[in-house]
Amino acid sequence: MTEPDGGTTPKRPVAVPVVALLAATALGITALFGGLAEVPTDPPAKLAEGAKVDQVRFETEFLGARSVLQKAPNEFAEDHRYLDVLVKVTNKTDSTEYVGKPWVSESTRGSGWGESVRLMEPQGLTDVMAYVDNPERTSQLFPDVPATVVVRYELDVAAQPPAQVALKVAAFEEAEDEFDGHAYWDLAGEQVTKPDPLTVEGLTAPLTGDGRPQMYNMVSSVATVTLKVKQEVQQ
Amino acid sequence: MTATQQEAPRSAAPAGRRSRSRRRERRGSGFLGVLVGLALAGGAVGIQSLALDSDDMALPLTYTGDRGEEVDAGRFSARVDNVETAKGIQQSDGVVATDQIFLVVTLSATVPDEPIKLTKDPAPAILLTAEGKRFAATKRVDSTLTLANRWIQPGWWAQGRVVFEVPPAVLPGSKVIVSAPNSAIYSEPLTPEAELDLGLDEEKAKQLTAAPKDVYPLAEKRR
Repeated sequence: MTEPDGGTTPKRPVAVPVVALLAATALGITALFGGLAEVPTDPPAKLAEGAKVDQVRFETEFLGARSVLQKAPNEFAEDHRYLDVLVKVTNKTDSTEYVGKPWVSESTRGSGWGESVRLMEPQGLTDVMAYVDNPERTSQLFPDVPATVVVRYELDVAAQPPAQVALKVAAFEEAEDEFDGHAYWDLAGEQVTKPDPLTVEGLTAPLTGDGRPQMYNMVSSVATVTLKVKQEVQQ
Repeated sequence: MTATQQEAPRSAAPAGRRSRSRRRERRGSGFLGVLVGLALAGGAVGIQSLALDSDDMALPLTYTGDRGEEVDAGRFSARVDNVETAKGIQQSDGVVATDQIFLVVTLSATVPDEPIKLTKDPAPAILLTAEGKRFAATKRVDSTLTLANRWIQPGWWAQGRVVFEVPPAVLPGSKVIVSAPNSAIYSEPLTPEAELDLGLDEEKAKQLTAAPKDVYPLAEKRR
């Protein structure tokens, strides 16, 4: 009890608020510099034919690339020229996964394994599909069973096929849903809020609508794979 | 009770200290109220940790049974009739071949009242291996020839086959899982599923993998 006791001034506890203030300041400075998380600084590996990329969810071996001219089987069909990238994908999870579709752009991100692969050279090929190399062209990737997968881009029939292809490959990581907390696989990358809420722009941004601060996954590639294209006719 | 015990010395106290002791009593009951409030709030927060999270809610209710046993999963019942292996599957448009092995499981199922198809997306059936790996039924075989395409009706047992393409090494101790269908828009929590043991020990699995059928006639049997 701190009762006035005839003239002597009461002693106030000073140490606790001082320590609290120091701790809060230290925490604030740490937060301002981006917290204690380490930023990965490894540059993506530059790889070629035969390279294996560990994508956490899958292991992918890049076998090679080819361009295929497919002659029309009858008068009603047309010739097609394809650019194929051949890979061997091993599913490292416990359940059946899917080949899905390769990444084309931010708005068509693809799905399954394909989401982690983006064509960098030649540019502008958007007509793409991917399938397991069996007669039925299935999409299933069974746990621990390596499967040869064909990533097929449609080329212009008249154009000269490219001499080489370059692909960016990302890894996967397990993420937790923002709203209901369910676990799912996402591409590995830094989660960034744009506009940054610690800047004037972020503070004055609207709370709803297009300009509101939103989380973005800044996907970073783990490897860049360059493959020489073999020319083949018909299939 | 504590109040009445404290009352006796307090009434004996001099008049000057009475008001202060009353204040102290009031402060004491306030402190007790805060304690009870904290305990209630803590209890309420603590109970939330027992609630199922979304991953748990997405898990099915699993009913298990051995080979040949009728497993009642509530909305449907199922049993394993036969397990065979093959290197190829005869369909109406040709033979599907594999460099691994096709596991053909013959299942029977019935329902108590509502007709269903055992077609839970993405696969009508799943092979659960002894190591906990899940192999979906193969899409290489036309699913209209399998159990996925049979209406399971009340009153009798409908028989059908499910086909898995697996490495031969996963057969010992494996089980097959069939599940009630689920809506793609609203996925119902805790859907019932039947986990049926195929009764394959090391020896039986070796027999099956040693002598697979060259071609399993899936299409002709349905005609």
